[in-house]
This record gives sequence, C-alpha cells and structure tokens, in this order.
Amino acid sequence: MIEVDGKKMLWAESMTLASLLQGLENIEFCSVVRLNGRLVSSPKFTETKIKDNSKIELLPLVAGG
Amino acid sequence: MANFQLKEIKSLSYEKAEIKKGYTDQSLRINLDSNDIIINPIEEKIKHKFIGGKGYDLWFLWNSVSGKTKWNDPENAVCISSGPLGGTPGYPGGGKSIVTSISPLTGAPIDSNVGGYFGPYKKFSGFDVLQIDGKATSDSVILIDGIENKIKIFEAKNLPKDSYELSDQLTRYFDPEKPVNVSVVTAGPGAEHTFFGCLNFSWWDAGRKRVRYKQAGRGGIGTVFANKRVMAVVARFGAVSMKSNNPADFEALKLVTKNHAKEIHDLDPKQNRMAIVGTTHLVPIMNDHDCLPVHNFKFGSHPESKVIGEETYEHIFDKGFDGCWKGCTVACAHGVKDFSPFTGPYRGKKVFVDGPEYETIAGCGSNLGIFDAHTILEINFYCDAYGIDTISVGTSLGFVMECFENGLITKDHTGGMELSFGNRFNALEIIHQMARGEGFGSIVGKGIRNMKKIFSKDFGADMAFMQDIGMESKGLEFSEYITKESLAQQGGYGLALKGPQHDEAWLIFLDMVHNFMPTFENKAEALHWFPMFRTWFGLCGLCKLPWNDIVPEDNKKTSEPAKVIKHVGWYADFFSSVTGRKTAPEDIITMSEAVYNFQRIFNLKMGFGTREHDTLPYRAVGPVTEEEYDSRKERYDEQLKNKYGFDISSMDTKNKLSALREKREDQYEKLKDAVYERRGWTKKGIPTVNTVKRLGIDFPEIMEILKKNGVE
Repeated sequence: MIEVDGKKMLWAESMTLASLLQGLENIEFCSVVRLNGRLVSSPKFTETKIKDNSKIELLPLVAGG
Repeated sequence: MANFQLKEIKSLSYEKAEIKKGYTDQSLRINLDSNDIIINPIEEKIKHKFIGGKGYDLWFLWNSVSGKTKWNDPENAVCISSGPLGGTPGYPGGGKSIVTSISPLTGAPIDSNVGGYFGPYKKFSGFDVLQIDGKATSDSVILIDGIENKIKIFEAKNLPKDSYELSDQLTRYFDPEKPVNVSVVTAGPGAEHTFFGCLNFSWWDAGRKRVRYKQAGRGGIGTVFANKRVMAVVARFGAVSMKSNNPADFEALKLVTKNHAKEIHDLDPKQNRMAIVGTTHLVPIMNDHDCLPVHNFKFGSHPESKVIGEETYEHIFDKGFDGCWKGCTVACAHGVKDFSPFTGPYRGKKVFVDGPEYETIAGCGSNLGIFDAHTILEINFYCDAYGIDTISVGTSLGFVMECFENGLITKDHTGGMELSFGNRFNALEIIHQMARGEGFGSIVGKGIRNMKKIFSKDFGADMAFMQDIGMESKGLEFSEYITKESLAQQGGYGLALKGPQHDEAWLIFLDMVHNFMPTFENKAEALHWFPMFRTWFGLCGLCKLPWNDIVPEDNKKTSEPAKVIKHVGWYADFFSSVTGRKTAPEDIITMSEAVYNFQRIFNLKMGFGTREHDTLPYRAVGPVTEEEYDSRKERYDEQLKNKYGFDISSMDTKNKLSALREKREDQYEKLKDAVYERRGWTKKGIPTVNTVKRLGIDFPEIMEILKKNGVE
C-alpha cells in the first residue's frame, strides 16, 4: 500500500509517479510532488519509481515568489 | 553598550488620530530641508481612489516631484504606508509596509513591499502615510512615538553605520524595557555608495530576544534614504490587537482571520512547508524545470544546485517562530544563528543571518556559479548589513562575471580580481568594496544599465553583446527566474511598471509547464488579471504568499485553480470587515486598476511609460550564444522545425540562433499589442482617455500628460 494525500492506495511493482498520476483526477496543475519527504518535479515523474509503503503528497500549483 | 549621541533638533507633540475602519485619515510629512513636521488630513476622495499602501505612497510622491525630478533632488520623497488592513494580528501576511520613491536605477517610481512592524506601528501612532523629503545637513534620526504622542528629529553622531548594529542599538535605546514596541527602518553604507540600496525594516523577535529584519529591496530606495542623510526612522507603539484597526465588523474580521489562519496552519505542512523552509523549496523545483538562473541566466539548471535548496537550509535554519508580523501562520522569515563570516568586518564573529530566501540563493548562488550554502549566507548577511539589494547584487555580479569570462573586462579593470563564475571570495570582496564605495565594486554598484555604458565607453566592451546579456529592463535588474520558455512571463517582467520584478505576475508554470494560456489573448488576460490582483496586496498592506502558496485542498477542482478563488473571496471579506466598504471579489480588480494605471501615467510623467521602455534583453527571450543554443539544442531545433516550419537540415547554429531570435522577438511584440489592448492602452502603451475616465483618475494633470503624449 501507498499513501497519496492521506488516502491509502494499492501499490504495484512497476509504479512510477507518472503512472500513479495518470489514474488520479484533477491533476492537470500538479507539477511537483513530495515523495517520502523529497520534492520531485514533473520532468522526473516518468523515471521516478514508487516503492511500497511510500507516502506521497501532491503539491498545489507552483506559485513562484 | 551604545556610545552614540542623539541631539534633539525638533520635537512636536500631537494628538493621536483615532483609527476608524483601518484608517487614521492623516499623513505625516517630514521635510529635512527645514526640519518641518507637518500633519495633514487625507481627503475622502483620495482614500476612495488610492485605497492606501502603495496607492497612498504614489499619490504623495506624485505631488512631491515634477517630471524633471531626479532621484537625488531634495523634492524626491521616500513614502511609507501600510494600508487599511495592515496591522491585523493573526491574519496571515497582515502586517506589510509599502515603500516608494523615484529610483536611482530607473528614474521612475519604484515600489517595494516589506515585512517588519514599522508600517503598522506608524499607522497606529496616527499616520496612514509617511513622506520624507528634503535633505538633512547631518546624519539624522526620526522618531514617531505613538506611546508618548511625539515626533522628534535628532542630529546623530557616532551611530554604527551598518544596519545590523544600528537596528539593534536604536531598538534597545528607544525602549530598553519593551523592545518589542520599537521598529526601525535603516539603510547602511552600501546604500550610500551604490544605486541599489535597500531598506531594512525591523521587528523584535521576542523568542530569540533579538532584532530581526526584512528588506524593502528593489530599486534603490535605501540609496535615496541614505542620500537624505537619514540614518534611521523609528516607530514606537504599544500593544496591538485585532481591534487596533477599529474594524467596521469585528465579528466578521475574527471569522475570516480564523478561517485563513487555520487553513494555513493545517495545510502548509502538507504543501510547501514554508513555516519550516521558507521559500527555499523553490530552488529544486526551479532547477528541475530549467528555470533556476545559472551563470547570468545562461542556463536553467545545474547538478550542484541540490546543495543550496531546502534539504540543506532546513537543517541550518534556527528553529522557532519566524513571522515578520504578529501571529502570521506562514511564518516564513527564517534565519541562521551563530553564523561566522569568513570575510569582512564581522569575520570570525557570531552573527544572526536573516535569510536566505529563494531570490538570494538563486541570485547570489546559482547565478554566480556559487553552490555553497555558507557563502550564500555570508553574502546575504553582508548585503543586509550594508543595506544593498541581494537581487540587484546577484544579477549585477552575474553580468560582471560573464563579461569577465568573455574578455569584455579584464583584471586591468577589476583591480586585479579574477571574476569568473564561482569565484566566491572575489564576489564577496566586490560586496565589501560596494559598502566602502571603493574600487571596481563602486562601478558594479551603479547597476547593469550604468555598467554597460561604463564598460563600453571606458573599456571598449561590445555594447550589442552587453545589451543581450545584461539582465535589466527599465534600469532594474531582473529577479531570479529564467523566462526563455514562457512568453507570458517575459511579459510579466517586461511589462511590469517598475521593471522586471516578479511581484506583478508570476506565470511561468501556468504558461510553460501547463500550457494554460496558449493564445496571445489568453496571455493578455492573465497579464491583466494577475498584476491587478497582486497590486491590491500592496494597496492594503498585505503579503501575497497566503493567497496562492498555500491553497485549499479542493482548489484543484475549481474552474480556475490559479486564481485561488476561495481566498480571493476571503480577501474581499477581509476588506469589507475592516473598512465597512462592501466589497466583492471583482471590486478588488477595479481598485487596483485605478492605481495601476496611475502608476503607468506616473512613469509617463517622468519621461518613461511607453512601448520602447517595455523592452527585454534577448537573454530573457531566447538563447544569445551558440553555447546556450547547444545546451538545449533538441528543444530549439524542435521549435524551429515544428513550431516555425524551418527546414534546419542545412542551417548551422549561428543561422538557427538568428532565425529563432527573429521569431521570438516578434512574438514578444505581438504580446505587447495584446496586453496593451486588454489593459485599455494605446499601441504605444499609454492608457487611453476612456480608460482613465472609466477608472476615475481623469485629474487635470493626468489629462495634460496624456495630451502631451498624443492621447486625447
């Protein structure tokens, strides 16, 4: 299991951040997530694999300074 | 132990105005030529039109200067105002001051939004706006004492020169029993000797029992302040509560304050964690999206940037409450205690560094090729202590380093210093020289626009190349974002009234990452709504961070997530509850539009404010050099082929650069047309008569200025 924004979700072995987000709603403005406490940005979503028991938070639209 | 002397040369006792619905309806003018202290009422129609904060500042500045006034003329004024909502404890970001003056860098009005307690304390002492003009003949300190109801002007001797010591000593001097009652505005020796001096606004950090400060950084207002020989302006006031603004509807104010504060408290830990890391989270995000300035904005990322972002600073920042206003739940003003500089007058001593924020890390770190958290802290500390703007310092030094690496300047010009990217010791030495007004540092301190002239005239440097790589527009140095792939943000910088600062519009992700505004019309709409909405924070005395850096959990389900409509509604409620002026979200835009257009016409009054001044250096638009092109070759080749229809098979890099440039520059000009039309301006970028009439700013002097510029 993994936790996405506080909700439990099933984990799959080949899961990446990109594949996870594809299955979620209202993610068109999600360009950064916090994966187990570390920031990961959209250019790295495809290459970033998710390990079992991971905790993921979807950050809101980046608003700049 | 303080060993300075303050000799009172003027004193005025006054009856404090009662605050009604966020306003005192009084202004305070200090004229340093005559040492006159003048209190005047503010007319209702001015209040209605200019709202407060930046609006008041601009109106008082407008009336102080003529179209011929230069930054160092006595009639140039430094105006400081908070705004009707400023000074609401507990409301996130509810205690800002806004400062304006005619800028030494741009020659036009500049405005800067800053934390610390000064603005609210000044207002609660009886004055919505402070105007300082004239010039003192000796070092001066001004005291606005809202406890004793006295205003005093002192002649000062033997005060410490730097802001770090000066703020501390004056705070303890003016209220040794309750230093929390004091806020001090200071500049510093760097402000005196450069054109990009900043102002430090202090507050007493009760937890750490020390003075902290935030900076009104942009455009050299500290330089004007120092030129007037003002060492400090001090405000003293007692306890502040949510009733201090005497709000029209206290229960409504309590409710909206509680709602917004609770949301920030609950959601910030799940979102950007600004209460822990400030704005340092932006470093890795900008780096990963190719938007972090590296080597004078040449590149947008660097592998070493990971050591200067939140993962490093989170562990360095001193733990504790870091709000720059009372009860702010964003609390992002972090600092580092027991820092020991390895250069300069504080070498080997332990100091507290207020910062760094993202802009300082990007400008004085990655942009200079300095990937060392300690050096960035040291630059941050000395810039603040000397009273110079870290953004202008970082962007100016980046320009110098690229000029040096390209042989446009040599050791013969720099006093023997090697100034390639990454040379941290010499970067620091330049900053110390700026403070002393000596050596090559005194040239760098004049800013990029002046450096280009000096390098060309005195050193024979290539002006065309410097125009392309010198990251300034309107004379102001760029803040720290790469805009090459976001046309909308090119507009956000190039069309900003005061010059390229991101506080008007920050559209990079909406445009570049999410492609939310594909057409010129979409971009123009964004470059209307966002600058207008963001202007409103400056009118009211607020910080923008609580609006869209922490957002409701269901915000992504709304029709326009970028506007964070729930918060816009709260701000309308906040304004209604304090001022009693029933306000809907759309009214916020209209309030700002009047002041925004007034500022554009103020630029026109000063000889600017037309299309030719809304230009950008090409580096902000696209790749200048072959090295730059090749670093993102795949991206640019693809654009030439698929977006612009070029057959690039026989084109070399030089030809590709040229073709891309022609297209991108054309796009920017088309964007200008679309934005001017949306804003109700002429093709020359001047507000039309219909626009100023619709906004109710058709004053005789404004109509005369429009007429002089061919708009009737």
